[in-house]
Amino acid sequence: MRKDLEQILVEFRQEVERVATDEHLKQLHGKYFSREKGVLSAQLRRIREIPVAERPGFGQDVNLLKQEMEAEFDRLTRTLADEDYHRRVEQERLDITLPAVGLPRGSFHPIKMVEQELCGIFERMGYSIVEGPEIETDFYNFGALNFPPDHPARDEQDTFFVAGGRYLLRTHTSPVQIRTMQQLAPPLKIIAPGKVFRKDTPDATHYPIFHQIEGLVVAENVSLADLKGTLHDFARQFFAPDVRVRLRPSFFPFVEPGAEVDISCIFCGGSGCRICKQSGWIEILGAGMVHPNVFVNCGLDPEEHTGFAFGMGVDRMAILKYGVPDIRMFWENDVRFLNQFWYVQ
Amino acid sequence: MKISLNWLKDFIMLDESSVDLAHDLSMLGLAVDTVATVGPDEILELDITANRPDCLNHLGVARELSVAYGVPLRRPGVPTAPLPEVAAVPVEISIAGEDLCFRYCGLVIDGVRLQPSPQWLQERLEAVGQRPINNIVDITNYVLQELGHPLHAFDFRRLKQGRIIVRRARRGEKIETLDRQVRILTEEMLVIADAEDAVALAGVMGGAHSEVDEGSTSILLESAWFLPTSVRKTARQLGMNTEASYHFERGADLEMPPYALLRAATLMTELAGGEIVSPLIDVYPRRHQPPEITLRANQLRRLIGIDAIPDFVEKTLQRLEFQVVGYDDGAWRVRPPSFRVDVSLEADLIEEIARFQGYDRLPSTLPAFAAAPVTARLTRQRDRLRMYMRESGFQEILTNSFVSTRRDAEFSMDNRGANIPVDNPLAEEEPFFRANLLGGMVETLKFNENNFNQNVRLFEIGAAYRLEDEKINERHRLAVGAYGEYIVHKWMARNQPVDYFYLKGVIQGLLERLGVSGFTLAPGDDIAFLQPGHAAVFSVDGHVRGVFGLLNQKISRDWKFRQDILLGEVELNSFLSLPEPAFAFRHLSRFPQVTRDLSFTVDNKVSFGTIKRGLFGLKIPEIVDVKLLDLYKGEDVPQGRRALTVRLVFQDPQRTLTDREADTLRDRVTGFLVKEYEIRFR
Repeated sequence: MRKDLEQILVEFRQEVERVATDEHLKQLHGKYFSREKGVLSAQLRRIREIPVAERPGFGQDVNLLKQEMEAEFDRLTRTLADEDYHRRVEQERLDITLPAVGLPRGSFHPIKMVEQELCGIFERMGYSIVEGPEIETDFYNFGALNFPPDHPARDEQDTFFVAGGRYLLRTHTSPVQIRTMQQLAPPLKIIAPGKVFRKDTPDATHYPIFHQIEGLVVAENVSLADLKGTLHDFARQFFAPDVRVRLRPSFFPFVEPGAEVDISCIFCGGSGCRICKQSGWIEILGAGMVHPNVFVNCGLDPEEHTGFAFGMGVDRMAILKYGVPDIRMFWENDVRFLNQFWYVQ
Repeated sequence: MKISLNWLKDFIMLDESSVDLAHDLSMLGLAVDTVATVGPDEILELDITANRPDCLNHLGVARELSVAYGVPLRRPGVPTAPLPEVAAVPVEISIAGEDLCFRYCGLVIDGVRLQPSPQWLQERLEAVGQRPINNIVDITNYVLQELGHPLHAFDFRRLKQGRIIVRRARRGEKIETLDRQVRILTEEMLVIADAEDAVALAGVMGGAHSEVDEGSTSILLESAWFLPTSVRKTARQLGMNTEASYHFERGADLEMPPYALLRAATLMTELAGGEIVSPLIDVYPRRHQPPEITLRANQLRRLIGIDAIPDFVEKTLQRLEFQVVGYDDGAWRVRPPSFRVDVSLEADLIEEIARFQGYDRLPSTLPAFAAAPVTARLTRQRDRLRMYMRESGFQEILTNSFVSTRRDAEFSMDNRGANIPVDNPLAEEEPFFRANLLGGMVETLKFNENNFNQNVRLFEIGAAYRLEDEKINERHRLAVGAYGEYIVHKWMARNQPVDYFYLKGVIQGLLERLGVSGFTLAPGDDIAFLQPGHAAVFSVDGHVRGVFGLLNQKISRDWKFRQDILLGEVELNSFLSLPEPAFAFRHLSRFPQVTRDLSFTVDNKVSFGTIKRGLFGLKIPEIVDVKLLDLYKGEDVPQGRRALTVRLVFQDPQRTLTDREADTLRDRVTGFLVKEYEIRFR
């Protein structure tokens, strides 16, 4: 490079060293790169004063100078921007521990959550969800379910009567069995969740309203063995993969044979604790084979069909699963209580 | 009921521990709740289901164990010496209501001496929770615990003319029962009467007049069978529940009365110094007729999933005292014993086989078929709504279905139909079934405010019921309630309190989620529980479907709320049953939107909704949206008017609109607005 051009570069570099602000940077840009008054433009214009023979060499040197200076200027720009960036970072640093924006957190009611989970297990087994009314007639709640009039089996379910005795509040979800069998032809695989009502004075373990899920399977050849397998499958999914299930003979007027179903205690694993009353087993539901009279009451031939039914208390499952000490808490709806279930949704 | 282990051992040899016994009994269907050690004895607390009255006594429980363990059953003895052929005293028994009393056995014992029972008998009764009274009463109780048949002892001298007549009560007939209550009877009730008066309520309780006391020496012992439903009705109508009625209403053994009678009489001669002075009088107009039931081996397999060994089936039934009448072609013909009132069908026999086979030894399989899906749309839609509400930041609650009418009606969006009364409410102040959900919602909001919970947003979806035209009308409803802030950022002053427009947004989103594209709003000034001017009634297709707004400030004051309460209720039935809206993908427009803003003033009475509806009513396809940018009421706006800035959004799906086309569209719109709503440009 020619000496005079080299001198310009040296001066430029010295000036670059002194630039500290954006304002300064702009001045520098104007001084050297401005089209009209810039040093570079001035040098380019000089070409007419250069002898023709030297012109190509001069042109190359000016271009070289331009490239060097531009590269130098870019570096400077970036350095200044970086410095500015770091300054800003320090200035704008947040106290990241300040409170967050409180966004609304919706939640499902714990009982409805459990209901949904239970329904989901059976839906994955191919069951459909069917519902029925909370206000029922004696026929659907008792008569068609093989509760004879004036039979002590009715005492187990202390009943609310409404509208002058013409109707009652269903004491279980079993009426949905009848409604389903009247309306739909087998084969059937249904579950029926819903509220039920019994005249129990509220205390830690009783509330006059609670939730049940009824199951009903009807086909040509369904057996007690199928019921066992189904409930075992269900219990493993809902409680724990290693839970054991046991059926004991029991009595519900609408099934025969009837069974009470226990699971091995999920708190002590079956060795005996306070919750299972040292028995190692926890009662979770009632079940059995659909009683022939129930089929007849629904217009089905008990010779052609067999079926099983089961019914479980959702509130009880929720208590078992979450260890809620008092069933009335489910009905108070204190949001501090509801919030606790947020993370299990 | 309580079962004494020592007492059981009178009838069966047992080596098993009480814990093993409890397990085995439970697995037979006789659930054992607790096992307790009482002195040298152990007491099992059994929960006997209503179908097994035959197990409400020690012999019955021993029978089950004898079959399960394959050991013999020993029955208590009765006298072998012959009874008198002719009564030494005049005694006559007749049944006038044989439809309610199938059998009545009586026997007279003379020369008894009333005194405390011997120690061993008292201990046995106490062990099973019975209070010893005197030897005569104790013996009847003892036989009840032993054989399960209720007996009654009359002071024979108090029975006029020595007669027993089993008959229906006369209307208004009175009897003073053993508990010293005077009972007024109806013609449906069965009584035991002497020649003149009722002396006992059949199967429920004896009368005070013929009670055995210190002066009694001659006793008539009753051992009868009464129709379960009759005993139950009588006991219920009189509000009584006795040991005897408990047994009879479940069904006593029709073949038991003479045996139980002789068993008690034997004990009385042994322990009370009595002498049997009459033959056993057995009036038995309706004989036990056991049904003959067919039990098919293939049905057994079909129902419980196993091939039972024929020999096992036969032996089990016989040990249970069923009569196996015959077997052919893979089927047994079986007659159940008289004490098994629960067995009348093949399925009942199959349960017997399954019980003794052991439910835990049955195989475990899964149903091998698929059923058609039938889940109702209502169920799915409701779950989607719940999901929407949760996503919108609301918490689901469950509230009481039992309400007071005042509370329920106070928060009713319409006043159709009547509340359904509960005939036998648990709480006198809540004697109705809910017709609305908002009453429970307001109570829950108040409960939370009282507990210092801030920023609360709640919803409930549930059924509510009304009596309309004498019919039960079921409606699914959604209630929402909120107070406080829905965005909380106090230290940056970016709080967002819930208000009318917040709730409107929630309701609007909900309707969109249900596939409802349009709704109309009317002022909710007539909704008494909402604040006039801050409430709306919304309709879809001309039908009112819900209300929402600010809780009326007067009501809020009465409830002592400390902040604004927002409430809404939506009737869901009409939405939930709508057919699935046809959904199809629509192409996205590649052409830009063009906007034109208009600033004008308009009379306060012209609502924004009116303007918006009017603009869409022009049916200009290029108008895709009308947005409100600004609303202003200030000094520079004339009285009675307000200033709006509205953004018109135009778009053509096929091409880019030119500026000139957009201006032309804007001019059409402004022309319309000026003419229709007398707007003035600012």
